[in-house]
Amino acid sequence: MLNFNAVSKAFNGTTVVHPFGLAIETGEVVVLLGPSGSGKTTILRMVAGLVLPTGGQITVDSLPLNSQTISTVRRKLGYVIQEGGLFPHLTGIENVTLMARHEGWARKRIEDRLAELVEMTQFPESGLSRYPNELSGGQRQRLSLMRALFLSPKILLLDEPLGALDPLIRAGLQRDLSRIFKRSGATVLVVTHDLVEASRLADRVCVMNAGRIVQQGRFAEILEKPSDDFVREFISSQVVTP
Amino acid sequence: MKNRSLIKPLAMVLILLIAGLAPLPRKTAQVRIGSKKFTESVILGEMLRLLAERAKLDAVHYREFGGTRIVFDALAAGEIDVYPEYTGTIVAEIFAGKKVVDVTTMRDLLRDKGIGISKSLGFSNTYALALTRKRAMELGVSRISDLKRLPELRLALTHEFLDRADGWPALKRRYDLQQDDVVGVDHDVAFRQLLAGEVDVIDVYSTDAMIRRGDLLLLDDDQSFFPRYDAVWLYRLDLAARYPAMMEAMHQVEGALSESTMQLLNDQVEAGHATETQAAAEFLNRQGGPHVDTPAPSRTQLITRCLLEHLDLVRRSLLPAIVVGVALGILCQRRPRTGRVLMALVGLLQTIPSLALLVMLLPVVAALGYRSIGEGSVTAVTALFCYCLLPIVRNTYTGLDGIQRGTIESATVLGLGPAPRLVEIELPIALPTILAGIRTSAVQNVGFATLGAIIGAGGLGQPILRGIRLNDLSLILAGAIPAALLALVLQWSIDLIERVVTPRGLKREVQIHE
Repeated sequence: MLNFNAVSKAFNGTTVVHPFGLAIETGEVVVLLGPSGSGKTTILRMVAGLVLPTGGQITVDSLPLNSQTISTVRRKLGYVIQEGGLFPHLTGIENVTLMARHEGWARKRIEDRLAELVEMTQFPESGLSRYPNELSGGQRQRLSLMRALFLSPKILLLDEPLGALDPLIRAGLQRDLSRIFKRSGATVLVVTHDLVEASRLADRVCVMNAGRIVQQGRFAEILEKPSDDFVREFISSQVVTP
Repeated sequence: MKNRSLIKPLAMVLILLIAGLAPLPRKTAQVRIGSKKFTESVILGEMLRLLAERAKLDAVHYREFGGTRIVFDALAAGEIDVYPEYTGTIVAEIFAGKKVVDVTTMRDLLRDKGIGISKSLGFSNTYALALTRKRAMELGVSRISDLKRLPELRLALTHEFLDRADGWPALKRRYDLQQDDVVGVDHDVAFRQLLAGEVDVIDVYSTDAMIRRGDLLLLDDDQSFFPRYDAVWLYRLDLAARYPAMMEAMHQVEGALSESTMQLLNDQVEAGHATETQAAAEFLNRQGGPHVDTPAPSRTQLITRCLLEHLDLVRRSLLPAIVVGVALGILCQRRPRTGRVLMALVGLLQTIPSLALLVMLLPVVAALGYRSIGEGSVTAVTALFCYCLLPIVRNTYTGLDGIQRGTIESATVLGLGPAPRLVEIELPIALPTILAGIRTSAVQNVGFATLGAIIGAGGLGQPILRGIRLNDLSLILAGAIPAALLALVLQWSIDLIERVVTPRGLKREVQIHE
């Protein structure tokens, strides 16, 4: 569904993502895990077409990503960022249904899809008429997720989706996210530096350091057999030992 | 489907442009008269208008709309048909670069511009030295050369007369005057000092209202030092063919106005005993011929008319400036390098002094075939438009540039193209900031629009200018207070619009519902 072939990125001569290959299967949830500056967000932004790769080729649903295909590709994408990226001048419902209205969906169809997503994301219905600044951080992320899912994207991109939330809300949303991913059937690429988040969400984890994927596999495998000192240290820094 | 989001903003642009550019129906007069911004010129202009009306011509008088340059250029461009001028001014200012040695040369130079010059109206308005009649008697002086034997006399001269190469220094040399006690002061101050006996001699214009009021004696210029400033009509040569009756009317005044008559008329107006119209009418009626009537509009009528003219100036400059300013602001934000240059240029426009901007625009507007002076002047509107731009451009830029990157990228990845993204996401988020810029422009514009009066475009600046000229505080306030109120009302209206169109989501104080 999502393929990287020798994809790399340099900004002003400084390489931030070294050439790498990765194939993500339909319905798979892949987590890019690593510290800040490891290049994980850049990979996500390349898929979204917000930055152009310096080399290599990204293929989305067997469509090579380039300036001609970018608008077609974006119709297959849902995108959620840390603060939600909601439109502050629109109410919750206007945020969520903006693109469907743009595509000229019938009212009934919009209402049905909305009800479906409200149920799926556990978003309180009363919040739909509120503006983003009248919602809590957790509600904002659920709203952002609904907006990303509205047109049933094949691929869901999430950049630190829980990064700005406090721990309790975070835990609740983590559980829900996993369920939502499975129900939506989307292929998911999540960027995070949080070990717990990776453990809860990922089918496969790619650990990144300094622009390279240094280890990939199921979470348990990585926890048991860190491939090098960096991975070992990164894990131990986030594990609380009594 | 995609283009649907563009309908609303395009409609908005169209409404603003139509509302801003729609012309008001304006009558075009047969004969257009101009005058310069001092009392005597306005009286003579009114005299022409009354004469035209007596000859059953439809005439309009653009009162006090500028200095020599502006009024003469308007005549040369055919914006007006006739105005009162002085031969000395034609020599010294209008043809300053050329050596005009005699009347024939002057006539030829004017003819090249399609302009004719009448015979003298009967008086010369030149510089003169004056004493109170009483003091002149005591000293036994009547000619400038008499001053030579009185070196202890104290003189108070206007700065202009003191500084001009053809003023005091040259006069002193010509008559070999010895006075050293010479101070430079304001004209009114000099007059008061003279009456109080603190000085003996001042400089005046020979038709100065002060001469009558203070019973002054003008010293005879026995060596013909001062150039002649004979009052004449300057007119379009084609006027004779278009309205022979107007030429006829103009001739009636030629040679009929003596210096003392003109002093009297000036004094009546400046002392507040008569309006320019009444003074002119009184002279014509005394001269004979059909009676001219001068119904004077009430103060309320005058202010209402000025207020409407003012609103018209604001409307025609502000509304198009909103469209252009927002467009330029968008361009600045999209193309930072072009934006920097553009912003500097717009900022530069703001720093051009208003009078300079008006004078620079006049010939351009006239050359393009638009009405450059008078009611509905495109020049005034263009200048105001220029001054309106900066706050709108800057705030549009700031508003757009301050939007969070995540918001814009979310819109992009959602699939909104540049145009729908701008219209549906960016402009609405920036709207409160843009409106604040429009508010600044609107309030500024009401103030700047008083400048319209300088080129006869009317508005509330007219009573202000007139009040300044006639030293009439109530007239100044009659223009200034409505202007201030208008600015307040505009400010409140835009505040209200802002409150209505800003969604709760963009307001700062909000209640978070958990």
